[in-house]
Amino acid sequence: MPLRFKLLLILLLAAVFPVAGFRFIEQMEATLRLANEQALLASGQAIGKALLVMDPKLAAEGRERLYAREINFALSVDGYVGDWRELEDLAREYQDRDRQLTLRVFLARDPHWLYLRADVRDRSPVPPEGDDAALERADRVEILTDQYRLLLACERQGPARLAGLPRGMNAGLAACDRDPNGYRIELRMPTSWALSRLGIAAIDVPVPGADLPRALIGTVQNGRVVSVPLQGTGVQLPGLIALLPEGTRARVISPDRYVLAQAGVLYEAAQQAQRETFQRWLRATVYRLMLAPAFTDPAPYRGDLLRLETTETEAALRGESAVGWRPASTQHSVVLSAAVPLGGKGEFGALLLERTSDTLLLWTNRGLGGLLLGGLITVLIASAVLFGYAGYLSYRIRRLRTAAETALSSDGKLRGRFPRSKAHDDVGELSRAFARLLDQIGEYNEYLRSLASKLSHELATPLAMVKGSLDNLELLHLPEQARTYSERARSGVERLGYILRAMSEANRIERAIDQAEAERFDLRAFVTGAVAAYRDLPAARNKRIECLVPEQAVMLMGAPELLHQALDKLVDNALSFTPEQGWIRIELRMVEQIPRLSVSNQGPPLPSRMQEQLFQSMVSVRERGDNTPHLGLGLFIVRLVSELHGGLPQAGNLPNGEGVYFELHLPGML
Amino acid sequence: MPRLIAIVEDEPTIRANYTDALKRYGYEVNAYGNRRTAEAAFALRLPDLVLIDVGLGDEPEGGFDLCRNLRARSATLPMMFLSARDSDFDIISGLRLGADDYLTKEISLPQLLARIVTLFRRVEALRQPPGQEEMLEHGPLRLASERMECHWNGQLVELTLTEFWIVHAMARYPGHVKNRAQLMNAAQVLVDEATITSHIKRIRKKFLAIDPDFDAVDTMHGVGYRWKP
Repeated sequence: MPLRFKLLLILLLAAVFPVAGFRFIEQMEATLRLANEQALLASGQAIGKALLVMDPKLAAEGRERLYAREINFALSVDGYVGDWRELEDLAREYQDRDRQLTLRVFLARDPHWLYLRADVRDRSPVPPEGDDAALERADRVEILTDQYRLLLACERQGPARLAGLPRGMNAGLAACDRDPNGYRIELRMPTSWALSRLGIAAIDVPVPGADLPRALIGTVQNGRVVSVPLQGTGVQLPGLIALLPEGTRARVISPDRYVLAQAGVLYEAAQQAQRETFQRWLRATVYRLMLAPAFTDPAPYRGDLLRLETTETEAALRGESAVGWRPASTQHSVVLSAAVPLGGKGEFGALLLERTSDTLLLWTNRGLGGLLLGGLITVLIASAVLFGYAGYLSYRIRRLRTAAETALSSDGKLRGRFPRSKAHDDVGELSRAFARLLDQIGEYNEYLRSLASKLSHELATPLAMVKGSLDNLELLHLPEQARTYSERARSGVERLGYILRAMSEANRIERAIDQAEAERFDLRAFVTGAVAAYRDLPAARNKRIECLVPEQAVMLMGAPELLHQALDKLVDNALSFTPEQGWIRIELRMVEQIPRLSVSNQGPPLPSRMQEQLFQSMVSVRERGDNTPHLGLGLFIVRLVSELHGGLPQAGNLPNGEGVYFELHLPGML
Repeated sequence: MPRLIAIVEDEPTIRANYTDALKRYGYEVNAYGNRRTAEAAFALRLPDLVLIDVGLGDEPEGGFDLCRNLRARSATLPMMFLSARDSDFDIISGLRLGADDYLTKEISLPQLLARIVTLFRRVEALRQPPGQEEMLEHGPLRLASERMECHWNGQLVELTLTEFWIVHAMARYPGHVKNRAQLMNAAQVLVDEATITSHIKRIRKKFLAIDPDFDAVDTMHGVGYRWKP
């Protein structure tokens, strides 16, 4: 695995720090949030109990009651209900079994009046006819107060028919309107009537003048209208504020979801004024992206609602405490709401407490938040720096590797100067050590390269000594036996001489190459002439030499003598490997304007492991046992000549395996 | 009176071998191990032929210096280099200093003797007035095989023995291609074929020095060389 991937892996490990940090923040946040929830619930429970004590009315008997919304504006009693628009939610609806008759009751009160609005839907309207007594036999609404029993009916739009009050008291108290589907009655009653209880019912008669009503709906028990407690709603409870934690809003709801009382205000609006700083933005973003709890829709929590139906209160009405989080109206805060049941099972209603909180509770704990944020940023920066450094290190090592790989050419020559790093660290040391090592290798290779020619040179003198002595010896009259030995000695010396010549030959050719002068000549004529000469060689007697050349002349800048020597070597090789009656093909062709000269021959394939080294000095693929010593210098010379002409030699087996080929690319000398 | 041959060679064995062989042939031989003793002896008497090794003891080029000094004293003294150093550079240096031939130590004793005999023959021929010796003429080329003199357009071309025989072998049958082996036989030298190439180059240069339009020696790539018919 490359180093940079390993470093990447280690860096992944470093990425654990931010992740762990984040998990920690998350945990802390969850813990803090839980603590907040618990605190608010605890307050809720305490306040709930206090409420029941403070305001016994909350714990009034029975579940059936009517609620009158406290309002601070006057309603006009005129049969038009436009001014009731904001109070639509107050509707208490009654319906008979056949769904023929529907009564919707709205109650509101200000310091002077109790306003009542009754919408009646009746499929078979029977308007009152005649005097007040006739009211008893028409479709009507019956109101039961502590003092009075009022009957109201609607004849036409305008003042309603009202009975049951002492004469002269009813002026302007009731109004009504009607349409084909039913009628609507508005009524106001002075608060001086001690309206602690109220009963209301709508009565439908089947036909005009019928004695018995068809249906009776409203606050009805056993076929009779009864009065139920009347309770104000939307009451501000100043006493409650003292109990509430700072910035908390409390709302008491009845079992049928009417907001009975409220106290305190949420600090939502106040926070909106705060400046939009980066830190706040960051907090909000982090929070919304990663930490935000499941939010509930803020709509059912509006402060001006007359009735409240939220997840928490519904649970509280079932007797279970519940908490919930929702976004506040500003970006940076959330609202925690907790609902507790009033009474053991919520039979007296529920108390909803709401409190605004910073988005990230952690930040309320300034020190811890700062620490974590700082830690997170530090880890991120450290990771980036570490990653960058690892990349740089990896780059340097890779560069060193590339330099080391390319420092020596395939024949062991140093290619230019190895780049020595000036850095005072381990990689720099490594680079310098490499450079020293390469210098030594270069010197050693240079020594090896010159060894052959030096050796042959040094051996020439002792060889001449032996040879001269043998020459002299043979001129003496030697006994026959001694002559045998002298001949053996001579054959050995000759062979040694051959070896020495071959050894120095490569060196001599290298020198010749250094001094070679380029001339322009026709390669085609050169090849044709050479092949003609090869055909006359004794070694070629039983072998077929083919020659393929292009039709036109191929002009080349080069050294024909050296090229000829190279070709000689190749043909010499080919001849020695080709079996009797085999063929040799010498081919000159143009590939992309560059001449290629190849010699291919029938014969055994090249061993694959040797193909790359074939053109190096002292490498031979010949099997031992040949009579003439073979030093493997031929193809080395071929390579030198080929390189002089700007090309490289190639060797390989013919595709069908019947022989081998050697090819020279000859772009020409510069 | 036997001819006196001086051998300047630092290697005692080789010196002794050559001395023995040449003495066996009837020459008088004086052998010297270094330049100093040789020069001291030559100051008294010049030999008839000098065989010089290039490297002499601690003087790597001592042979060249000796050759230069001797040539300064005598323009006609026959001198041969006999050295283990076989590079073109050494050969050219030696011949440029005025040596008549440059042989490598690979040469066998019989071959060496043949070259010495030839060289003496040439010296002999030069001493005699031009007579009815065998002349080979082809166009502007005139070869006197006894005196081993080569003329081109009447001007003397200074050729070494080896070069002379190469030119002789080619010019005897103009138009015939002589391969390297044939030229080597003709020159009676045992050098590798690449050396023939450098001999041919030098021959061309010598002729070109006299006649810039000289192009009588044809290279037949892969075959050999020929004298233009």
